[in-house]
Amino acid sequence: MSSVPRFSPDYRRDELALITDYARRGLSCAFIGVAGIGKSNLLNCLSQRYDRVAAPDGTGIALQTVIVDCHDWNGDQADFWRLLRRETEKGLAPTNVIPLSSDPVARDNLIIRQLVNAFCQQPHQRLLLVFDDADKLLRRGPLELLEQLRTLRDENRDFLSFLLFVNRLPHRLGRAINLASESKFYQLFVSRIFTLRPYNQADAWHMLQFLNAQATQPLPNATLRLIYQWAGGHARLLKLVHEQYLSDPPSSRNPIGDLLAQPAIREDCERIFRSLHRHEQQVLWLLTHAQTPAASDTPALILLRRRGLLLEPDDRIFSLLFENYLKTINL
Amino acid sequence: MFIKVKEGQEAVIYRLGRFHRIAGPGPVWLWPHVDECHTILDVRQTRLTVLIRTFAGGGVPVTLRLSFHARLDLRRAAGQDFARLAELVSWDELERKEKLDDAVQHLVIRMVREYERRHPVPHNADFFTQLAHILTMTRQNDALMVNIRRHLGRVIARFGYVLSEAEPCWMVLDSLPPTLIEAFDRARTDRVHMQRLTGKWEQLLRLIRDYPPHLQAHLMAVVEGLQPPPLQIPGHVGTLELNTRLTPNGEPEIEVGLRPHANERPPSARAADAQTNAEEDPDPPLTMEDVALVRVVPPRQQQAA
Repeated sequence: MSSVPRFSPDYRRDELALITDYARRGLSCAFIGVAGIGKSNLLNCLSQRYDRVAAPDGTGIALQTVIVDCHDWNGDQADFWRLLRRETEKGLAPTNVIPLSSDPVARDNLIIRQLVNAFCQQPHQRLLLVFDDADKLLRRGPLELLEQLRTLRDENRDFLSFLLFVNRLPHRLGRAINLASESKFYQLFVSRIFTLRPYNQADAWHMLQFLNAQATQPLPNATLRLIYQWAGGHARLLKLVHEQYLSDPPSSRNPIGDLLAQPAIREDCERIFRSLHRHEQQVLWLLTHAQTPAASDTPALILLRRRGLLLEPDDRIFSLLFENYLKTINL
Repeated sequence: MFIKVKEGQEAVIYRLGRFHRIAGPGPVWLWPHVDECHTILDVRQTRLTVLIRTFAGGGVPVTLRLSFHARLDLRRAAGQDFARLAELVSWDELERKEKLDDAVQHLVIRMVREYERRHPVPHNADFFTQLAHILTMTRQNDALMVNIRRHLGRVIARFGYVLSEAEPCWMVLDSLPPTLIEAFDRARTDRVHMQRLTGKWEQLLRLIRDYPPHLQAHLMAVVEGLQPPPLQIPGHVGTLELNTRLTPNGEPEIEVGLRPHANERPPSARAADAQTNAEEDPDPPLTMEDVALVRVVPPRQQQAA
């Protein structure tokens, strides 16, 4: 058993404070972050700390999270409700109601509504419905599905809120279904879209300590510092590089080249790159190839800074590994 | 000048704009230009009805109707507290009824919850058993009504009413909601499902024949409804789950599967997703309007401010 807890007390404190504060007030929000940035870790921490029977922040309001991983969704509307029903039934107290309708969507819908409404009727508790990897949900919709979610929230105003994790800007994802102009669901969180940045130094260091405590032959602190330098605060890169150091450390002559030669690490860098908007990709590529972005690239530059992928003030790439990966690719 | 206040009524008298007294029935003297009769209160005993929408029996939405007899007696409700009496007479009829409705609804919901907490029924109990306490003429309902009646007098006194001890106080299901009918059907379906599942042990054993003994024990505990904690399998990432469901022709089906953790998906699937993103993306360049929508999470101190 590891002596280092999985999450430090200050783990993502600003993000967690923001999410719980909004959830307590029944407000929905969305986070955009590149692949592997630690969205699922944040969710695990959220669901561990804010259990329905405990309110660790002393407000007396317990927060129940129901996490729906939209990656498991096959894109079919019936499958979405089946997925949501499965997760809701896991998280909330069971209901005794079974609908008679032969339509599976209507059946799942009714059960979800019963569970959510019954939960929200209890005092001093709030429900947070989390949609992880919600890119597909916003891209495909359809709108009527999203509006049903909005209706569910309207029936439990102030007690139910949504939290979405996406890779890209929600209104860009939902262009095909006119999300920004026609969706009331989108209006729930449009004014509360935040970026999920890489870990700060303290969180990254704690994660490395945790990984190290689980290893049979822990790495020295000097190596951990190197790993942080290579990977930046990117959660998955940190984990992969740490694993690599445990199994087969790179040579001291060209450590970054050796690490990037590993398929898993290279694939992860590629995933980060592909989860960005095309415009952001171009700007990153220009910066790593010693070219100056044009004035029209300013929005992409600002967005990359807000995402924490470019470190101010000198617009340095957040991770040496990712920077070197960018140098090796062609657009 | 005199005014006549009829039997069953009381007059609220204001003097120079301030509450002065409650008078009547019979002749009541008012000083001209000084006193005015503000309201005539109906103090006859009447039947009051309050509708309560709540959930009972573990999640069935029901509408209950509580009826009781009471009369308005503001002087008794306020006692010696003149300021309280002035406040009570200032409410109009609608306002008083709204406040009374809220308080009685709260009382009934609290009492129903308290009863369900003190008298738990098994989750798979028959629905008549689960909802017996809100069905009129049942022993459980009688016990619940004793508790409600015990507190009702005190609650309605806050709004100037006196509960009639002689008249009955009763609660009925206002209407049987469609969901309740479905709930009754659930009980029937559950029974049929369980009867059919009992014959399926052989099917389950066939499925899990190659599993280690502790996994077999875990799955059988799931079938028995013992709800064991999630099982972590060494060498696999995820939680083992067993699901039972009825097929369209009514036959139960048993599935055993490994549910991966949210953050432990095969990298290849994630890469495929990213690839899809790239292929479907003929997006125009970003603009300042796009950027304006996105904010950095403010530090916690600023959030509080």
